[in-house]
Amino acid sequence: MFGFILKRLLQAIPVLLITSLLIFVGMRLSPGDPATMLAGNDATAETIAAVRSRLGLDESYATQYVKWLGALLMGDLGRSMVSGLPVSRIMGERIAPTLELAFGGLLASLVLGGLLGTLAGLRPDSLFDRLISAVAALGLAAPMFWTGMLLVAVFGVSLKWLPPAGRVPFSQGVGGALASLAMPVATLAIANAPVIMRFLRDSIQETRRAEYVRAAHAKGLSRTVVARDYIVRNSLIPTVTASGILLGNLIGGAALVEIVFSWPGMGSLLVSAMGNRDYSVIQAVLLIAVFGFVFANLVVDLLYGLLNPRIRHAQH
Amino acid sequence: MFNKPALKGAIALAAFACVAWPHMASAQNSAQVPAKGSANEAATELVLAQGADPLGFNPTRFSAPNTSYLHQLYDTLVEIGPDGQPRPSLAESWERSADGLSVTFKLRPAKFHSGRPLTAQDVVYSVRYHLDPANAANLLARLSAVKDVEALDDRTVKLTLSSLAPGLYDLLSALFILDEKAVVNMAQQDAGSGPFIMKSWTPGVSYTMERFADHWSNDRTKPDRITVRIVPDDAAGAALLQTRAVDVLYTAGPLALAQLKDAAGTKIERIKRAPRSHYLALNTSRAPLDNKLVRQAISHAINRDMIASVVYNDFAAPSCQPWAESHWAYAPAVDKLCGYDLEKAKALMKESGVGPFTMTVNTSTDSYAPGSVDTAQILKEDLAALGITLNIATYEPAKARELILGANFDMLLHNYIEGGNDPQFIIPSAIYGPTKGRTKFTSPAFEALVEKAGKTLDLNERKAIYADISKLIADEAFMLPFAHEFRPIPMIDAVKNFEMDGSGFSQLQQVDVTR
Repeated sequence: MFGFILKRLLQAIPVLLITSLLIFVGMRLSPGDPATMLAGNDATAETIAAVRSRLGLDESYATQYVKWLGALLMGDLGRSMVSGLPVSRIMGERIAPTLELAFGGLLASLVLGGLLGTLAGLRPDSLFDRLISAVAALGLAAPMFWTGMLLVAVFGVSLKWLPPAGRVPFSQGVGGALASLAMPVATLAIANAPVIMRFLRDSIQETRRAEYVRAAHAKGLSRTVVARDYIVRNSLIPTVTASGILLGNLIGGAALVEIVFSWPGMGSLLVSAMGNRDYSVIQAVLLIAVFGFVFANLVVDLLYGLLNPRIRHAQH
Repeated sequence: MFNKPALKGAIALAAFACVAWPHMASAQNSAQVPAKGSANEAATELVLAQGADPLGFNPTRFSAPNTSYLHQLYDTLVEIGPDGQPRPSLAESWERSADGLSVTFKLRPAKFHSGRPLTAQDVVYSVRYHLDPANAANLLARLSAVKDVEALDDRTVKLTLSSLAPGLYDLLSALFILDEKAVVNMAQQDAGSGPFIMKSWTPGVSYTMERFADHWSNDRTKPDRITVRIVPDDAAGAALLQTRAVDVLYTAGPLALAQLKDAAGTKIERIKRAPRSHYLALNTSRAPLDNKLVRQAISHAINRDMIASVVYNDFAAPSCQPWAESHWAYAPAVDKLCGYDLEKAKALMKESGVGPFTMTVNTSTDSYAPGSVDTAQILKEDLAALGITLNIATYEPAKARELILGANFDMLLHNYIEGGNDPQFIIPSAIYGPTKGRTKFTSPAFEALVEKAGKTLDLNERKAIYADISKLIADEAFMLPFAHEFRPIPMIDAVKNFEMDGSGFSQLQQVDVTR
């Protein structure tokens, strides 16, 4: 197992290197730069050139990339070109909120989607199945910012049950933290649970037709045992795949949800850094996002092994 | 179907919800970040919400998110009163030489937040810091008249000018004095001597300023603490104001304004002293905009009243001169020269001999050029009647600014916020010209007038000259100001004395907030 994990992590290195190059070049080719943003509305060409030089943006792309990569390998993410703060500090402030939201969103999506998907899958073509499918389609179709604004209007402004925006760290109290997390997580769950639900429902319906399930019923096992041990467990692999993709996305930052709820995660950081052309921050956020995907895929591969012994043996 | 473990899980979940819910519900008032009055219940706290993080705490950068702290963390030599005249600040008095080319300031005793006494040498350092192109101070382009600065003793500083610089005091009211020993750390801590001191900053969440007890005007300071929360979304900001989690919505877009228009317990104040002046710039180096008649036709095709009403929700005054009605340089007669008159516009087009043509107008997102896209849509309709096909190009801020600085546009819809200051802030600058303006327009008459305006300090004489300049701008129609938007600032009813200076920098020292 350790060898498998190490191998997968080593495989991530070229992925990260290629991605870093693409991110770097992509940013430099996009219009505008931090010098233009810093110099102000009345800046002359000379002033902008002076700022560009101070930020090292007048050097060749190759030199800039090598310098950045060299510092990165030494663990130095550099400084924000706009605020001057160390990028590591900025990222440090954002990682906990991002992970809270990502895992909270994933957990809520899995619980909601898993529960509904299982029930719908075990009762195909029933009224419940049709109703849930229709509701799921609605959840999928509703834009996240709309859902978020609706929740804010109802639970934040009208009922005043939950704070309309902002994050309270768990260090300041569990009640406040859960209250601040509730609506962003619910928004993510409403959008993502239908995906989990559909994967699981379809997979369960397919598994129900398998011969070994019929054999289990023929052996006289109870419906609950067959459902739990024969159908649901064997139907989980597509759901795990979907969950991995979802987790990767969420670690990269659920920008819209973060903005609607003023959640200080990496998604909203990325949006503001893009606006200011803050290259060093953008590069760091995107690299973390890519790493998040690699990590999520690794977790998915490990879960495959746990769910299906044949895959576990193949990994070894 | 449901076995025992599942049932146990459901019971546990229900139990957790029962235990946690009261905490969550009761936490809704204290769950704001950071909690109001959490450190000291007796302290007066003012909570603002703004859309973006400050770009560090360097007061030479006037980006919108920085304007909430400039006057709070930093002092200036003078400040400009509501009457447009300078009044003492760090400088308790000053004297201008007979030829007007030097001003000697006497400083009052003051301290930086570091505890170090503020001396004339610090003023010298600060002026030179602003003049160094490597520091890219946003005021740099306007400081060309400053020839030298020297400390005569610890409390006396002399500024020598190369010309009369009639807008000097307005400039000095935006030139913030820096602690040389602290500038190296301006990424995360202020280097000032203002009435408040930076206490904490969590990027993306909030920053907090607290009363500076050693400030020379501490007895005038009302709030003990000012917290600025970062709330990127307009609707979220409005919701926070409605639930009293914040006191002032410092950056409010159309969505928030609509939501708060009739919200109980809140009000929308219009800050007339610091209007955002919206304009259409025509690049006179590109045909047929080099034709004065075409430009005049376009000017008469701008429905200024409709734009002010529809795009800016009646929070704007239609106008065709560079400053608003509340400014001393405003000349009422000028606004009669540019009425919306499509028939006259068509006649002017016919007279110009220019046939139908296509042009592009550059606009930007609301965060950079509020209302520009909507204005362009209205303009497109009216210009079509003149045979002008208008393409609307919308750029995000970084690209938009690059195009503006490079004067790379046919037409440009943008705005400036310095119109509340002395006219010298905008007339000789790149906004209007005359020799380095982005519209590329110049004329001997315009140059002569601008030169004349820079050679007198007499207010009545200046009023007359700027009336002539406004008239020339309206007649030549290279820059078409169309609305002065009085920035709407939503706040709770309890907030009093919220002010801004002529540049739109908030002045929060005397804001009263009683709950």
